[in-house]
Amino acid sequence: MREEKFVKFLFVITAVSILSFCLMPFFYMLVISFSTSWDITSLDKIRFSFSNYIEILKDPSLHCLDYIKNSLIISAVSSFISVFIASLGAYAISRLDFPFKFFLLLFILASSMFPQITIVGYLFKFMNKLHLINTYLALIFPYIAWTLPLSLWIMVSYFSKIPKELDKAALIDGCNWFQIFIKIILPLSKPGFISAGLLSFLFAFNEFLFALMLTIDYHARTVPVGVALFQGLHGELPWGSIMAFSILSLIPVILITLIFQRYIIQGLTRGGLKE
Amino acid sequence: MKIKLINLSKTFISPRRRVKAVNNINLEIGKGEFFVILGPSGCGKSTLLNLIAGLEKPSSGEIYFGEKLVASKEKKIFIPPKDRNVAMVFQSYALYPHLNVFENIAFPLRIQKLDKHSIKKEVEKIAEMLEIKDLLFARPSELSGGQKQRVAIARALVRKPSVLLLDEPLSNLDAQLRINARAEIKFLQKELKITTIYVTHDQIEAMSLGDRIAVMNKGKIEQIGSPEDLYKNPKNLFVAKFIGTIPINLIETEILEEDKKLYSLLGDLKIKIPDDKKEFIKEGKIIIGIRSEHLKINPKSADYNILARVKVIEPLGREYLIHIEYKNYTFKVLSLEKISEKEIIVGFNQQDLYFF
Repeated sequence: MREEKFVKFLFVITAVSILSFCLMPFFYMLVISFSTSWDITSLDKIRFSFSNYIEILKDPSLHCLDYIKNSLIISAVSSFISVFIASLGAYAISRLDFPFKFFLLLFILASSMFPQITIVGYLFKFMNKLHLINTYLALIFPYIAWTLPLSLWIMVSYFSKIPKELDKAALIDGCNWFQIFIKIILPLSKPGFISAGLLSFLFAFNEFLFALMLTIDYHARTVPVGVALFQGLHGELPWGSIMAFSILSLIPVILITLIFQRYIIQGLTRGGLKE
Repeated sequence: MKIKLINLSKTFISPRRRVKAVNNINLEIGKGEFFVILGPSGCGKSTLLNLIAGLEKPSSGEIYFGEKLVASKEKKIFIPPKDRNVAMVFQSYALYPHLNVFENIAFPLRIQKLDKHSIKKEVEKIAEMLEIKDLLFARPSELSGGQKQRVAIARALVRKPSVLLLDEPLSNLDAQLRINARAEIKFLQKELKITTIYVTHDQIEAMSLGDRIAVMNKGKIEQIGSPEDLYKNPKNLFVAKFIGTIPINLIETEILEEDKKLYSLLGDLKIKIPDDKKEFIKEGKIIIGIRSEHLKINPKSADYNILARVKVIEPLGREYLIHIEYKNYTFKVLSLEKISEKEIIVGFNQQDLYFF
């Protein structure tokens, strides 16, 4: 009994320390964004105010809302397309019999492990030739490519959990392969879609290097680059505004995650078959 | 619909080995017949069913539905399941977990793009027939095994298939439920007169359901016949062993030749071997078989009599299964009366003997 309590105590202590360690920067960010001073070491100077938020929203030359809009559109489009392509590929991989299937999956995974920096130079030249620099497409294409392996792996693992007898039953009931995919496989792997979609979305939303290289201004620039290049008129670093902007750009991401994580429930396939 | 299989084979090829799951099968199933394919697991019976359903393509041979050729490797014809008008009930039921019972049953009709009103009518009609009307809005996960099975049958029957295929549909039910479901399936089939192919490894199920039974082993059909026929005239050892609730008594005996006549030696008992059974003799031995109900205790008259020691008595309810021993051979005897003697005389007649 005492041992059990001790373990519980250790668990709570560890959880609290890890959590506070992780949330510390966020907390710092939150405090600074609502204060007039950015010096957190002298707490007496901190006064609560909305001035940072008002400033960044009022000043059109800062393009904060543009960056957020760009980020949301680019992330949404690229994650949607990535999951769509991945699910078609995963359907084929999980349902067709062909040799070296597993090696193919490993190869795809390996291809996603190159450091981004290795291709960024080439990518710049490539996009330049296509006259896509500083457009949404310049980022959407690489993001789709970069998130595809992960989406594919997630979808393959979900699809292979769906019993093949359901495919057979649907085939007998008159479906063609595409109808099986739409009417049986897709509804049953909703959690897979949402987790793959969320992860791709977050990748695209957080990505920095490609966005830095392939965009020039507020027409296509995303939040991470926007925050990094945030400078005052005279070259000083307005920490308060930066923090307020970061908090603002976090809101849609947190909202999306909260909304969709409800759908990531396990065991959707339970009950249709008797094991 | 009449179904005809001609020289049908299916070979599965994987990098390591080739498996001939279905080996050169010829078969004709009559219109409205309840046909059972019986065999041990791995004998190819499910593959044969999948071939008929169109879930597998044959490696060689042809399948006819009525006069129509639906699959032929040689003629490069393959009609997919949806155009064969077959329905299938799976061992695992394979209900769609994300749809409720109504939508599960309506699924094939929705694929056929039937109008809403007719779908509702058809689903309710079939639900009424299978007594699952009050379950229509339940999810498959909320149903018991027996209910799932009814839903699966309803889904199969709702679009009036010309061929109904059942792949071990009862093996996931408990024993009591299975007997009822068996009778219901037979009743439904007779009522709707659908050509039905039923695959099972359970010989009791096969005997009680089938108009005709095909016994399969290692991808080949060993024998086709009515249940009575298979029981009374098994063509070979495999069929004899497989059919019958109480396994047939089988004894390997030496051969004795006397005055140009052949006898099988059961201890010092000489059993006549009919001339047409001589082909079964292998290396001076023959296997004789006799069903336990044909062994009579203290018979008034019998062609052969043996004095045997009683080993074990198993009460079966109405009958007793008596294990007896005679000269190192053991037999099972079915008797209506319980016996108390240690030694009994057991008799049997020539006509009840099988030679393999």
